[in-house]
Amino acid sequence: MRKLLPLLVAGFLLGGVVLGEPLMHERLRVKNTFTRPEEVVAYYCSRDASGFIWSGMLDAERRAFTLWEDPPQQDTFFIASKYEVLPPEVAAGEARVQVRYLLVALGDIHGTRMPVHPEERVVTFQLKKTGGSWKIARPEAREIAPIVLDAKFR
Amino acid sequence: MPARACKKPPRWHWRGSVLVAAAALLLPYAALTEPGLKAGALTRSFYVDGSDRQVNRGTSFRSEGELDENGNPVVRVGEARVSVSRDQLTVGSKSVLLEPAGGTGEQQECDQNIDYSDLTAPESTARSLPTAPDKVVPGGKGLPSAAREATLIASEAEGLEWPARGREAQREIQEAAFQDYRVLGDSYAQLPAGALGERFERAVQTLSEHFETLSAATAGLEPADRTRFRNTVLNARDKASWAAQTLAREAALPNGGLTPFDPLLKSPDPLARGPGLAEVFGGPMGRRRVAGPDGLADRYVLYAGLPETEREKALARLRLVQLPELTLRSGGKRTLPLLHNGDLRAPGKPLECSQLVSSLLSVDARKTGITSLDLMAIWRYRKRGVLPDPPKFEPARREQLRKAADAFNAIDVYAGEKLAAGDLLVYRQGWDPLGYVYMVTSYNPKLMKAGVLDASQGSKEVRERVFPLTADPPEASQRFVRPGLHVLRLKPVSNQGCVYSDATPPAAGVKGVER
Repeated sequence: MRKLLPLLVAGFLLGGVVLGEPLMHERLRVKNTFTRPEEVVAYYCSRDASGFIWSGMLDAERRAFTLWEDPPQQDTFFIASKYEVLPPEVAAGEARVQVRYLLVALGDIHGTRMPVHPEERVVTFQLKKTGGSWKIARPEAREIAPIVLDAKFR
Repeated sequence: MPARACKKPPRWHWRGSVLVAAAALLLPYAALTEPGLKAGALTRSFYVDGSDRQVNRGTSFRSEGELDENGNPVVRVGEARVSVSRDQLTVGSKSVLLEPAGGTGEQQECDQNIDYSDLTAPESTARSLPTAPDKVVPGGKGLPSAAREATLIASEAEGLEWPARGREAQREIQEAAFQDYRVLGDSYAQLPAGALGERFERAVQTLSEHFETLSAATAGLEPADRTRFRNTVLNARDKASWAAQTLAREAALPNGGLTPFDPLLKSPDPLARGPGLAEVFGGPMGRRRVAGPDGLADRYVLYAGLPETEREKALARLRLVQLPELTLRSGGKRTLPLLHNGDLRAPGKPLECSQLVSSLLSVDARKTGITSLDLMAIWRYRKRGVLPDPPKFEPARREQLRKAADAFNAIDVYAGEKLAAGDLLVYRQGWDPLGYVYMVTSYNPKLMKAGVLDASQGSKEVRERVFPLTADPPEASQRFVRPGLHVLRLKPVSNQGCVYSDATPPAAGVKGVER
């Protein structure tokens, strides 16, 4: 049981993020201490869900968690009711992590909403292990759209 | 010399402003070739501006058939008066010599000596490239081409100002952000580690209070700005918290975690003290970065960490700050300093047109201002008179957009209308959240390539690049314009969307403390 405790704690802390439950805003991290690629993706998605990618990813955060040269820059975003980080595929220092979103709309901060079809969107993150840390390599920053959670971003 | 045919123009349906452009190019020719014409005395007027009753500046214009108060014809390009004499057109301080085609009495005898056979009706198929505009000028020279030249001069006089103004506005913002950073960082430079740690702790506390205040605000700040500032304040708070912990951890290490070489590596950033803090606050804090999200968060940390008395003094010296009075949920009121990157407009002030342009080029400013989705809607509104649905706009937002739309004319590249310097090129598909806004600096209609300014990295950088409007080669029989292009041309006169004020420099709104 003692061996399982850290896993249970980590599972509790990450569980809400992975399942996209309406937690408090994800706090900024500037150091990548995650050991698994899905944790990195879960952190990114949680920050994104709170609107921090839309409002402006910080350089320290970008350097710590991605291989992007620039942060994503978009004025509008998808709005999702929930999302789910799927189990990773890991091989030879590279990993693929898929995130499945249930979209509600496309919109902006002024409350403008546009219907989306299809409602399900799967984003495939490709990560590379660089300097002992998993970092997001793809999609590239200019290709990725912010996806915020309807419940969080108000 | 063979006599030129005086044919009547062919009939065709009006599409876009191509025919107006054709007529406009031909009318001065006809006017100047009327018998008995004296220098500086024409018999027609031409108006070129961006108002509703007129056609677009730069690419198209038409005769109103009116004379001015003195009975002389006048060409107007926007607000610029164009004087026309027999041998020269002048726009502002620039002139172009007219070369009458043929220049013979034989032509002047023919009141309608315009060979319309060169005119080709525009392609009616949307998205294919019409060829008409390139074939309008009879003989290649002569007055029509001179009129076109005059139009180009006008574009140069007005349209080309925008790229320069856009760059200038960004430089001003970067300079202001850099100065603010220095004002706030002054007292941090010589602080011992212990005092620096206290400041980080104070910053965490102050920024948490800021966040609570913003969350409780019900009026005094646009909801969009409130959300964005909450995120900025939270980022700054988390940065300060991380810095406080890092400083405490490093203080417990021998020699404060410093290697013998670290004191030699002086960082220009007063917060990048030691290896741990350099990771958070490090990197060259030049003018570009300091006007981005990182620079703004760092200015918040610096500001919020100051003792209260120093904070007040610093506020008076900051350039990029506003002090809105917020109404709280409890009914109380509180004034909260909002540090910004030049993208927070002072309430109640009319938007200056150069500021509008700058805000549309910056993604950061568009996030809480007019988005690329809005610009698509504005383009359709200007073309069709109604806002599209979807997207669903909030009622108040619809009104804002209608008002903002008055600043522009819509250019339809699918109907063959050409880009001009100063145009805003919006590239976006409705169903995709990826949207881009560029400013056109040049356009090659043969290659269908536009030179554009790309400020998609917010206030950090403005890049110049080439934007092809088609993937088809020039020799292709049909060249399809890529989908998703919406071109907006700013009206050269004050309107409901923005105002021109020569006394106000492009980024005047960011100067001084706006209280």
